[in-house]
Amino acid sequence: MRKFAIFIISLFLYFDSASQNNLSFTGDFQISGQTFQKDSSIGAEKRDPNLNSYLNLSLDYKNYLRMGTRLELYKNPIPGFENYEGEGIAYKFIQFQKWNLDITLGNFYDQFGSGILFRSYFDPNLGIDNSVNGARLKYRPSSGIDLIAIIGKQRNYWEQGEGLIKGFDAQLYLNDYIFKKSKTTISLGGSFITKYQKDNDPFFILPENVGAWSGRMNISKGRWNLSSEYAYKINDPSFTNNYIYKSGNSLIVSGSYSKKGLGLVLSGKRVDNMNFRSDRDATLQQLNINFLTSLNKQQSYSLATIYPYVTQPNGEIGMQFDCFYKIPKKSKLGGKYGTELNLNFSNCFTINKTNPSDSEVIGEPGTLGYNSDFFEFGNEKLFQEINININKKINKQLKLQTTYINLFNNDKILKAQKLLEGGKHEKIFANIFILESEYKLKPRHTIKSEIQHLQTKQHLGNWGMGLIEANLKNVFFSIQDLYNYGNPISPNHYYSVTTGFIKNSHRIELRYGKVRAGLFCVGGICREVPASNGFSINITSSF
Amino acid sequence: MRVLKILFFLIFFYSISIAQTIPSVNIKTLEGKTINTASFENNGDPIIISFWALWCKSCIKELEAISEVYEDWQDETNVKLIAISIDDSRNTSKLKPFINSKGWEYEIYHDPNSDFKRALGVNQIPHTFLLNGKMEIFSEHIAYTNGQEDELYEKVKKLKK
Repeated sequence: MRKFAIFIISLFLYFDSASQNNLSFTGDFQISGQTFQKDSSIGAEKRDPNLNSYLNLSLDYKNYLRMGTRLELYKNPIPGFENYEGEGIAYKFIQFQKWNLDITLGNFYDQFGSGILFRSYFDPNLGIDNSVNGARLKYRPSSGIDLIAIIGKQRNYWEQGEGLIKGFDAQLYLNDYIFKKSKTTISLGGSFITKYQKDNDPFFILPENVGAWSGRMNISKGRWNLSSEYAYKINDPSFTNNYIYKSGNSLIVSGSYSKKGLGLVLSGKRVDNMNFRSDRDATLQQLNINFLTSLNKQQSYSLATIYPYVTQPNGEIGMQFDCFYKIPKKSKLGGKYGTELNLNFSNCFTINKTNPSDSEVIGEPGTLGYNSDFFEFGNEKLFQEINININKKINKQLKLQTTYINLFNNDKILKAQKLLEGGKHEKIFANIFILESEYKLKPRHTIKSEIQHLQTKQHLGNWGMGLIEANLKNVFFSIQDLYNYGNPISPNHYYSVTTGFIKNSHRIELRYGKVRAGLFCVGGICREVPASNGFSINITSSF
Repeated sequence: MRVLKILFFLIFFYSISIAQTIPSVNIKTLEGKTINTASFENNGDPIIISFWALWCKSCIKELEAISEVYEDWQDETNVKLIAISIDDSRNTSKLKPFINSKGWEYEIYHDPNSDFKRALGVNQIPHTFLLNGKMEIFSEHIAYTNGQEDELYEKVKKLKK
């Protein structure tokens, strides 16, 4: 590992002395550390201070040869990250790009279509890195045709997953060939993925090769757009589907209309037994081959993130509607600067499941698991959200933004929330109100405030939240408190103070305070975070 | 461990001395067609590249602020802004309707696999680059505070001299 690092550095130096102008060098790093004090009121335990950091380096020679690596270091990681303990090279590649060819050896991140069949990516905050280590070949026979072939094994913490993945993807942009002058643009795509893993199971005869395919299209004409992707996977008994022999499938359809000042999007999806991993015994965020996106709004306000919903790969059917509207300037409702109105509605249900045969029950290991009618909904609603957001500039100094969220989260079925002692999973209904204001004192000097309230009769009861943040050129300072005043056992404050400094592409942040236990989500993927109380430091830099 | 630390600092200070150009990476148009970032050009005038996503509120604030003065900027300096969305498939279908509703006049592309983001060493957004006419990085900044666009424009004007 160290030899490799030294090798890379020598190459940098060599190329640099040889030809300064043909070489470009980039990188970025993040260093995060945290201390953990005991705080029994919020359930925080004492732990040794932790450190998570990574450094990415990439060297590009004349735009056709690129190589890169990432060093990672984890010291006393928090629960959920324990398997990352250690240090080393987690990622390295060499890439050659010329004459419509693009060859990568080593680790790579890629995705086919929307990722419904294959997506490898890196998200350090969630502890996800399922990069494929092997080879990737991209070929562009002519403009408008993209072909990709991949082979390799996925990263599993500091090791590699057992399963070997092979895949192929083709994307065709039709207008480069036919309908050249048409205003309608059409693109089509198709993918195929197989994974191979030996069957060592003492009870079942498991498929060693699991194949899956998908097809997609996108049609766009003027203000209209329609896109869709369908994926199918043969039977793939695994830990996450309780070793049933049913095949899996998933469909996403999305249509939109937009013109200046107005955007409308309507999407629907169905997922049926589509968990796809390169090791059938993998769990949590381990060794996922595909990425099943969730169709609901990505939240950024802290109280709106308390009851998140994530895709249920074993089965769900749902829809989402979005409206982005700008009430024009100088109209009665729009005022001098116009007013923005954003609406979002989304919901999700279980899929219909019936007994595979008279003698078998639903989901029994070693059977087909269940039968499912594609067009029929299941009995349970899992999630629903109505989100209304109004955004208004009052004058040159002041901007206001208000949000109302009506939320239903079926934790009785999802069982994702941490419970109070003696509590049980229940259906959660919540109303959330948020008011945000930003006041500009002078250029690059702003004061921001947030007031939030979450009202619910279930789980931990009501929450209030307040935040004040000052941005003074390169320095920022913020103080906030989340107050779970409706908590039936211990109404807790989760206060924190944060300060930091930003210069060009470098940032340092110091924080002291308490963090609530719960689900931390990025892009529809969540992980559990334990309650904590302590100092933290976060440095990021890009160069 | 010690070796890693030394390497780390060595590279960090060393890197400051090298002029960077834009790497050649394939990204997508909003219609899903592949284009290469090496084809970015603006007739020798400066280009602003801004990484953003639908979930990133400061990114949208920055792009909104520039949008209000973009016409003047273009008239005075011919500067072009290229906005790169790093949204994943959760938001792909929302991109075009959202952009149209905002009425942004930028050149906008989608980097669904974060290839361009990785190649430029971007680790958090908003991250904005200013390129000179030779497509070399002149300056860059992360985060956005109200009024920061004026400082960016001062730099654009400096490049035009």
